[in-house]
Amino acid sequence: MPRAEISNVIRRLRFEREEMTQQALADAVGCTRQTIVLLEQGRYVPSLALALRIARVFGRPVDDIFQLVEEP
Amino acid sequence: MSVILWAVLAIVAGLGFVAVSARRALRLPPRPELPPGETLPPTVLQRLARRSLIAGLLLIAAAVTAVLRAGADTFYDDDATRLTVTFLMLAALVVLAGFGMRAQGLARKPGSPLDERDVAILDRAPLLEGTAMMVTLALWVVGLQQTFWSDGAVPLVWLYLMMWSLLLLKGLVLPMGVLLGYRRS
Repeated sequence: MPRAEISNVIRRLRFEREEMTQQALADAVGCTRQTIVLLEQGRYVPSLALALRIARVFGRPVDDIFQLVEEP
Repeated sequence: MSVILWAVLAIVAGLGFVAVSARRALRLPPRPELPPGETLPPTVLQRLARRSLIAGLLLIAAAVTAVLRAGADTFYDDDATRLTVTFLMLAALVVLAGFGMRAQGLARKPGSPLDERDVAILDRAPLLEGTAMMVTLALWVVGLQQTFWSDGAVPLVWLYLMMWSLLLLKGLVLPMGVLLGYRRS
């Protein structure tokens, strides 16, 4: 199976939402700020539940926010 | 093989274990990038693990100091020293086991301050517990066997210390695993 990474556009979406802070997003989705920092830096892959909660906060479909980057 | 050779073997094995652990530690990913002057607040679980580990290590250090001061062979004969050491080790065990119970309780609590990453780190933290205990037990047995082989019996006090070292090691692995988990993920 090819190796896959998940990239995301959370940081851009936060700034588009009147520079929403990481803490505000963390509070809205029920996780810690550390998790948001690591998510934005591509160092943590969220569960489906967390991905869906993030998508709901931004009012976007999940695959608008998270993309599968497959390495050959 | 002489006692000295076994001692050298035990030290080499111990140092090898430390070297492998240090090598793994050096390969830890860099800390998350943050704007200058900004720090990442530790999570509830991280704070709890840090406090428990420091308190546990201080109590263990006090117990070890009391044992060494009275003499490892003789501390058990003096009631005051024996009670002090037992109290310190029990207190360390309560602090360390208390961390595990509190953390598991927080993870299950509705509206928990722990998120999915915290819970995943907590679940992975005890993975090395069995290996660490086996290595410690093996070194204990080799050392005791070689030291007391000619006597044909091991003084009970050493078995008592072996039991405490294994119990406390089991307690130390969880907060250490949690703190390492935050650096790794």
